[in-house]
Amino acid sequence: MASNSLIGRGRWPQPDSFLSGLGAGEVATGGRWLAMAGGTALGVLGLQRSGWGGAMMALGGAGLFTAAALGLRPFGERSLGTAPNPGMWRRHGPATRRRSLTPERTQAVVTIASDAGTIFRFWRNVANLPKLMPQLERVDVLSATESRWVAKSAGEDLSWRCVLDRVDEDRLLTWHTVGGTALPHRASLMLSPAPGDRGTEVRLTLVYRVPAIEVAALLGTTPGGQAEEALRRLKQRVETGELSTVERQPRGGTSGSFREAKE
Amino acid sequence: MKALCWNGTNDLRVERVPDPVLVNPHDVIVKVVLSSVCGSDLHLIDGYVPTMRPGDIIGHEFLGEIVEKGPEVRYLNRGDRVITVSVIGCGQCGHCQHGESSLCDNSNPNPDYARSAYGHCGAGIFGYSHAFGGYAGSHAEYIRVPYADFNAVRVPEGVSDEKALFVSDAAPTGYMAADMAGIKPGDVVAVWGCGGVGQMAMRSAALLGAERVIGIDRFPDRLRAAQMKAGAETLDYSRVDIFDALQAMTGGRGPDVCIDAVGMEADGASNAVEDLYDRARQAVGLQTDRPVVLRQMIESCRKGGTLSIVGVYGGLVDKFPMGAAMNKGLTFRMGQQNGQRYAGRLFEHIRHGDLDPSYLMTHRLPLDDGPQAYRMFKEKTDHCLRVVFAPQG
Repeated sequence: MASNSLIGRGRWPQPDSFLSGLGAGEVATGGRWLAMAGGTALGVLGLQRSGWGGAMMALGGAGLFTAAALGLRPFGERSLGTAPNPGMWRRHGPATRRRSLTPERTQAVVTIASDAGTIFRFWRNVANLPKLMPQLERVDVLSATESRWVAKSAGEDLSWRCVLDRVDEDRLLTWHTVGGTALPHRASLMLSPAPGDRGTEVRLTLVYRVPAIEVAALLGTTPGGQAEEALRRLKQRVETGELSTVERQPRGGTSGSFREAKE
Repeated sequence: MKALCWNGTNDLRVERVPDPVLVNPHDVIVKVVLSSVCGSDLHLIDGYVPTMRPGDIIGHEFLGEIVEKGPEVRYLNRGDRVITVSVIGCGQCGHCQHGESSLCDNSNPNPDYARSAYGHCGAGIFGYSHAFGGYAGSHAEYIRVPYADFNAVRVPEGVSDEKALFVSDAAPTGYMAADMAGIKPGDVVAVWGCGGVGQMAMRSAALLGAERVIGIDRFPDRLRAAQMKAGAETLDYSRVDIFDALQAMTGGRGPDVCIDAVGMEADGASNAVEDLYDRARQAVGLQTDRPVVLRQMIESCRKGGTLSIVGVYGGLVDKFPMGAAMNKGLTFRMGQQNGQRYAGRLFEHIRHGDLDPSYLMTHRLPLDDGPQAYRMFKEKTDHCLRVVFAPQG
């Protein structure tokens, strides 16, 4: 199995207006350049002056420049770049405000020794998805095209509603979240025949509108990890009907007083 | 139950651990009757395989009786006497379906280690570190066998436990080494390493049509066994220059096929400077494996010949003579064993009397003697070729 993470704009039209409004990223970029320019000016002025005052100005300028270059906000409580603390983002405002202009896109791919129809049907039955995504508690089918996905979350309830966009039998499935959710995203599953009668190539693409670090904080895995794990499990479920595991198997080192050292 | 557990480099302990349970529908539980040590275990014990964890049960070559089976097991039953192939296949992925079960896509539940180190992940192996799945090993009274219909093979009537045991690993590994080398009638085959796998490779090479088979080692009892049991001519690398000797024996051509049944901990006693160099680089982590045998094989093999590698390597080697390999037009074949593909053929050879691996078992001991047994096996004392544990007593 191989995967790659592609950062960029999504390919599909955005029913829930992913691309609307000015993203925080643009403001961040402008402010960052301003801070870097200010830092440079302060540093140059400081170096031209003598004594402690000049030295302090030079130091301050260097600090401002460095902070801006690293993406920190020297005078604010929030990051200019990616969110260092997703929980903090959650406390400040609705999801739409933190959508970045460029969605984070992850793709994983795997070859499954099976026909496309079997794979497609397994995924199309969205109630199966918790078997593939251990981050999910359950998926409730609401209608032919809508479902509610409930995540396993340690703290507050985490769920989202998904709508199917395209259902191209045995070839393509696309879906996206609708309504307010902490994890707005869209995704696709593409199936194509593998050369040499090797089965079916399966591509899962996830496009989150929040930074990967925030997805990881909420789901316990990055989008890349989520996509790879889902395909690994899909392959095993379809090919073997089970998931390989070493859980619940015996091991030593924990058996206390029974332990019998021989060397 | 009782089990032999790895607790650190050169630290094996017999411990009480919980009995295994059925986890997946295609599992069986096997009561272990015989479980052999293997040269590749020494890489774990010596600390060269980095993903071992204290408490891991080792052992991967075994024979036993099925005592429990999952609901989806179709072809096996309680009471069946089986060997289990040490490298686990799922039986369904593309590799398993094409006889390459050691490359199984599905049987390793911890694929990240191997994927980060190797790019892709191979099969799980019983008792062989978490990079290979973290499966509990067979030096125990019971073991869980996943995908049992594919990995556990019923022993035919009339084949004794002692003869059947090594169809679990040593025999198919040796047979595969000879098979993938594409031996043709008239070929001269040189095998580095006269341990269990090496001797099985020698016998298999003869079965596949090799005209002459040459075994290379330095332990007199092993060289003698290679001569007497495997029908090989032998070379003692501590006494002769291997390159010169092989050229002299092959009319200056070199062997048509060179088989590596040694792997990453090759002993370089024939060249002290080279050995010191490799050991020093291995000790400071600049290479993980000592490629003495590989270098000798590349140098010695005839132009256009084939190298077949079943000795286990784990990571990086240094001073690999790629120029010689390329300009001599050598073919490299290698891999962990695909025993599921060979078990039936090997049992047929055993039934017909063409193959009898039982002589590899020089010692049969209780599991309690595990740590001492491995020390004897490692130091090759008491003419030890293989120690086999009998966990049921």
